[in-house]
Amino acid sequence: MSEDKAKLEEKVKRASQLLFLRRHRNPGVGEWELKRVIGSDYRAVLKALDERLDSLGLTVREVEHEGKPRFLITIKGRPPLELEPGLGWMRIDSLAGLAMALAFLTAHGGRAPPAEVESFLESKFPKRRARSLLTGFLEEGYLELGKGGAYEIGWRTKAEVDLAELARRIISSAPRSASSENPSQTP
Amino acid sequence: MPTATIRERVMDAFRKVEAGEASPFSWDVKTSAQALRAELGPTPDDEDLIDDARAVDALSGIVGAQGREVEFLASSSVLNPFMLEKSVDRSDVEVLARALWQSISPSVDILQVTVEALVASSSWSPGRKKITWSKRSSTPLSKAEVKKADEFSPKIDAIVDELRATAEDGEADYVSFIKRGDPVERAYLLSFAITDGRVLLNVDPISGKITIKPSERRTKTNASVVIALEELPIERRQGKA
Repeated sequence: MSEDKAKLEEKVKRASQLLFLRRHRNPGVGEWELKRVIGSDYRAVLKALDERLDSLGLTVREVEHEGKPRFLITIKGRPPLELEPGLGWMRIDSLAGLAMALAFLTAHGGRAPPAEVESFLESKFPKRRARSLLTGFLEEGYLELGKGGAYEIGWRTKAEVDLAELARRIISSAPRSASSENPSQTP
Repeated sequence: MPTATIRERVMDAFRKVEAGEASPFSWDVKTSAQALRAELGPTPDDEDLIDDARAVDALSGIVGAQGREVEFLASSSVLNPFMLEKSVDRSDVEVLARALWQSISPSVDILQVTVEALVASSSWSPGRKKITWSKRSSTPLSKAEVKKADEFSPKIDAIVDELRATAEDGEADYVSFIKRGDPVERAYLLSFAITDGRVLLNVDPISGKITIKPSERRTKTNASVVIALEELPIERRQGKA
C-alpha cells in the first residue's frame, strides 16, 4: 500500500469516528472540527468514507447550520418499514408531533409564529405535551427560531426529512372526510 | 391619535413578516417604495434620511423574505398548503407518525460514555456521597428481583394475568393494585404493560383517581403515573423493602 493510500485510510477511520461518536447533544460534526482533525482535504476523505458507507446503507450528508457546513451520517433512503417507529429512536407521539409541526410550517411558507404552531399541535396533544414536544424539536435541531422569533424548519430536518415526500404521504394517507365518503348523507 | 407614517407601517410589516405573523406577499412593495420616496420630500434633513434608510432596509427585508418563501415552496413541491393542513387535521397520531417515518432518513450515531462521564457519575449522588459500582448496579433491579431479560417478560405477563383475574367490573384501582405486593416492583412492571398497550390507564380529571384495566387489543400509550410518597407503605419510604 502506498504512503498516500495509507494516509487516506487513516483519515477515513478518524472521520468515521468523528461522525459516528456523538459527543454533543446533536449528531454531526462542524466543518471547523473536520478541518482541525482531518485537514484541509477533509472533503476528499468524506467522499471516500461515503463510498464505504454506501454498502452499509448509510451516507454522509452536508447541511447548513448557523451559516456553516455541518456533516452527519444518515440512513440512505428510508428506514425499514418493519422497524417499529416507537422503539428506541423516537416515540410515536414525538414522530406525529414533528410531522404536524413540519406540515404546518410547510403549509405556511416555512415559518410561523410559535403560538400558532403550538395551537396546531394542541388539536392532537395536551397543551403541556405540545409545548414539551416543540421544545425538544428546537433542542434537537428539527426546528429553529428565526430572527423575528418565528419557528422555522431546522437544520436537522433539512438533513433528514424529505418535506415534499412527507406532504404527499400525509395527504394520501389522510382519511377522506365524512362528507366526501357519503355525499348523499345530510350533515 | 396620530396616524402611523408609511415608514412606521413598513417597519411594522417587516417585523410581522419576520415573526411569521404575516406573509411577505401581503405587502405591496412597489407602492410602498413610491410612498416612501414621496414621504422623504425634496429637502430631507439628517433625521429624515436616517428614518428613510431604516424603512428602505425593512422593505428590502420583505423582498428578501418573499424570495426565501418562493425558494422554499419550490423546493418542498407543496402544491396545496390548505389541503396539507386539512389532511393533518383528519389524520390520527399513528398515521402522522407513519407518514414521517416513511419520509425520514434518520441520522446515525453511536452513543458513548466517556471515562470522564464515568468518573463524574460514580462520584455523584443526591447526598454528594460516593456511590460504589456494586450499589449502582444492584439498584433498583435487584430490589425488583428482575435480573435477566428472560425473567422479565413472564413477570409482566403474570401481573397482567393477575389484573385480568382480579379486576372488578373490568377495572381496578391503580394504587390498591400495586400495594398488593412490593409497590415499586409492581408499578415498574405495570409501566411496561401500560406502555405496551396491554393495560389501559385512566386518570379521572376531577377526583384524580387512577384506574387500570386489561386491554384485549394492544394500543401503545405513553402515559406515566406519579405516585405520591404518602401512598407508599412506610417501610418502602424508609428504604426497608
